Amino acid sequence: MPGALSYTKTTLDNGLDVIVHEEHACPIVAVNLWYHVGSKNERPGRTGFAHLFEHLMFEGSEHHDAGYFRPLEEAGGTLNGSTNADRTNYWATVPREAVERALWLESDRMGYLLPALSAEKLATQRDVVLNERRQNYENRPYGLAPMTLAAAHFPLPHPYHWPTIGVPADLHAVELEDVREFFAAYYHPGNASLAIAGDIDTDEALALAGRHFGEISTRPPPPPVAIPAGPSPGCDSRPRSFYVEDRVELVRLYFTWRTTALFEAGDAELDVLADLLAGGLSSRLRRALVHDRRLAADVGAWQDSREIAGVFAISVTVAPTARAADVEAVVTGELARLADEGPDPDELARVVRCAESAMASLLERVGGFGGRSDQLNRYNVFAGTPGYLAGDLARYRRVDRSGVRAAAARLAAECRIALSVVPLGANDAALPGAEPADAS
Amino acid sequence: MTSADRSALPGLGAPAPFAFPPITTDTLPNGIRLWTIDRPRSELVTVVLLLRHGSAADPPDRAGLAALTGDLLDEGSRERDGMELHRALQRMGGAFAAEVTSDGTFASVTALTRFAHQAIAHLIEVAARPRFDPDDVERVRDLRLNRLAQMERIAGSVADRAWLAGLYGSHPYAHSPIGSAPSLEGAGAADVTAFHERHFGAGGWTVIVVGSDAARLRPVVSEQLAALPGGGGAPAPPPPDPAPAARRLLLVPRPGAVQSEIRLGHLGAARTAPDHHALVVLNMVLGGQFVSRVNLNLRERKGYTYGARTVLDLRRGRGPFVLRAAVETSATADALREAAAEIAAIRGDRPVSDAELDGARAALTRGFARRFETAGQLAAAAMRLALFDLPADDYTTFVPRVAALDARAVAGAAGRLLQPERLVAVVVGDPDKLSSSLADAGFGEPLGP
Repeated sequence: MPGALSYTKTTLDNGLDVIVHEEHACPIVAVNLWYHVGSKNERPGRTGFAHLFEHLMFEGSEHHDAGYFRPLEEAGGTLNGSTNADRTNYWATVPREAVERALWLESDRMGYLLPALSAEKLATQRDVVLNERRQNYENRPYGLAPMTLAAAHFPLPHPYHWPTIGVPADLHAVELEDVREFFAAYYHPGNASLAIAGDIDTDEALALAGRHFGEISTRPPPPPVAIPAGPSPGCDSRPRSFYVEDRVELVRLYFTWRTTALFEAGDAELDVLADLLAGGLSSRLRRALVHDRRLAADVGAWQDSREIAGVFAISVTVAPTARAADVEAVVTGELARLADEGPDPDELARVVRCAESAMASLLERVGGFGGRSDQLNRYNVFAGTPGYLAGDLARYRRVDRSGVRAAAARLAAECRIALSVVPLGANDAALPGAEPADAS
Repeated sequence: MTSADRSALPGLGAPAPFAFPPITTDTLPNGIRLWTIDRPRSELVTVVLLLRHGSAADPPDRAGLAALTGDLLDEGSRERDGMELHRALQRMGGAFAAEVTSDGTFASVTALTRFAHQAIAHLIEVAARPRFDPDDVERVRDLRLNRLAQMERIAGSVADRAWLAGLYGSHPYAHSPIGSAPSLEGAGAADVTAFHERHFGAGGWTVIVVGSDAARLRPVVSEQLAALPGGGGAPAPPPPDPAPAARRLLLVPRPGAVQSEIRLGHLGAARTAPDHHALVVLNMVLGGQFVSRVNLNLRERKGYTYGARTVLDLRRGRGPFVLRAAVETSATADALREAAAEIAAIRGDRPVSDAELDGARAALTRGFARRFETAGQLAAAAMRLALFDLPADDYTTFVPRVAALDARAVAGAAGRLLQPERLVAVVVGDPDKLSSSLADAGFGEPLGP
């Protein structure tokens, strides 16, 4: 197993963390930059902003006031970025000879974005984002389920309440001044982490990073995110069950619980529990629902742990002839069985081994989403050190039967939010007692 | 420390040298081709079995049979049922995948390196000795029927399938590998078993192993494979070209849709076309990358879409050439006009410029190495050589051949590939908001699906 990734970390005078990892197998280098800002730094009425801003970062900066794709694609590179509730990342994977160009561009938009910003760019990218929203959410079966669930789990003013893609009315309301303020507050060296991984010597990489980013002045740390105090929402009242109608063929049920944040105690146990339930042919729910009783067309389970909270989810796409209530009984029963008996030792060992190979698979690449450079930044930003890979894997090796039992027991007992997505006009196919939900 | 010079973008200098790793090839007495690639220090080993039969080999009344067969491989072997097979995979930290395209079936096991021997044995077990229990066949078939029903609600899938059918008619490439409900409904264990007997003979196998210390794995793999009976499995010949289609527009209603899914294209080229490299460069400029003409126009200038691409779907026979985009409903007719105009212009009054040619060539040649970073990428690369009967030096000659292309060569390829008068368009969108404007999009009156 890749027990650890070797790296060198330094922090520039302006506060930028620079992490270098050497891997010379392929003559390519990954440049990966994280800004510790996401949609949870937004406020109601101004949602979708962090993500729209990510689009604008590809549209040019003072010394290269043109698209960012051309100079890197024409250098043989590939590049992208993404935004979630907690962070925004930008990456380029380039041939060795293009690493200086990639760092030049990345640093130019960190230091000199605003002079190149224009109302035209903002208007076009807002239209692109509205189309992204239509394509990935509004016009996609089950596409509105995740935002419906997030809204239910995290009532306002919790900053996970709204979707990262944003509310259309908010996107229409964005003005240039908002963009400038956002940049000033969040896009500076002290709120960023740079990883360079691949076919490059550490000294050269550090020198290049210093030369390109060292001149950028830092700004005050961003304002803290207000985390609402009090008990977990949903757990001080009765379980809740909603339905939404959508242009879907088959009913899909989501059973969800608010859970722990990333790397918190219990997080790894919930990851393992998800795989025990729905990871492959022999997993408990897949076997019971898809194979043995044929009540479901598909089953999934995941622990979506984020920086300040998490949600555990089980999704079941119901077979045409099956009833939601029968599916629910099986889900409840399998959870109770795991809470009662725990997993077999061999079953647990198998799932942990698959977690290790899944990580090995991500780490085959130096760049891209989830590759080595992205993981080094993820650990640096969320765990405080780029070297947390070994500690992360150890979390899974430490999971024992009693930990899984406790995780399952917690889900069985605590308040659950269920969502039924049903075909238009078929609300009688929802879970019994489900109430209509507001889909934003 | 000196600061960066921001007066100009840093240049690139000479490309870093890259050599595609050697493929050690062998043909066993029973006809199996065994290819291995060493990937030093690889944490994972990937073993792929390629059969040169895919959905184009589906019997005419059984569209979807090849994919159903592939899907059933891991549901049970003669020795073990599907549950036990899956548990064995998990113990290797492994995953099984079966993919079926028009021309090929690819079954693979990826596992942690220390379990390489078990991974190879596992793949042989499921591919050579599947169980095809009638109960499993019925269950997996029904799951695929459910999937087909769900796909009817996914605008992009509806568009892909309607467009393929519109272009290819009754040709073997006219259906997606998943097939259609009427043909799958009648499929049973006897069909699957017959398909397997006809097409899975080990004599037609190509087995590709990528991992660390591949040289030490060879004798073990070789011994396991050599024990299989040979025979069968001659590759299917590439299908002949379908009858040419006329320019037209099909409208598939999706009431209430907030976007229209657009497909626009015609017959493309076979992977073995003599002007392959020029076609790849042409497609890069037209719609094969972010800075392509099509994406810059429809996304970056107009904001009609989240992204627009053209794809040369390279197959043993002539695969499709298609432009794909999901556009805002009110922009549908404009987007169609713009897209068709880009296709016409690059073979007409706006041929590929020198700057575009330089950019596309550099993107392909300097970007070559990163296509071969992972074990899976290396295995897929070897698989393409095997599937298309390409010369062994194809990856060695790619960079010099692309670098040597000039504007004339690319213009020639554009003249041969692009046929504006034969463009078949499909729109999946809201009929109430579209029908009047679509008549002016340059394709005549829209036709029903």
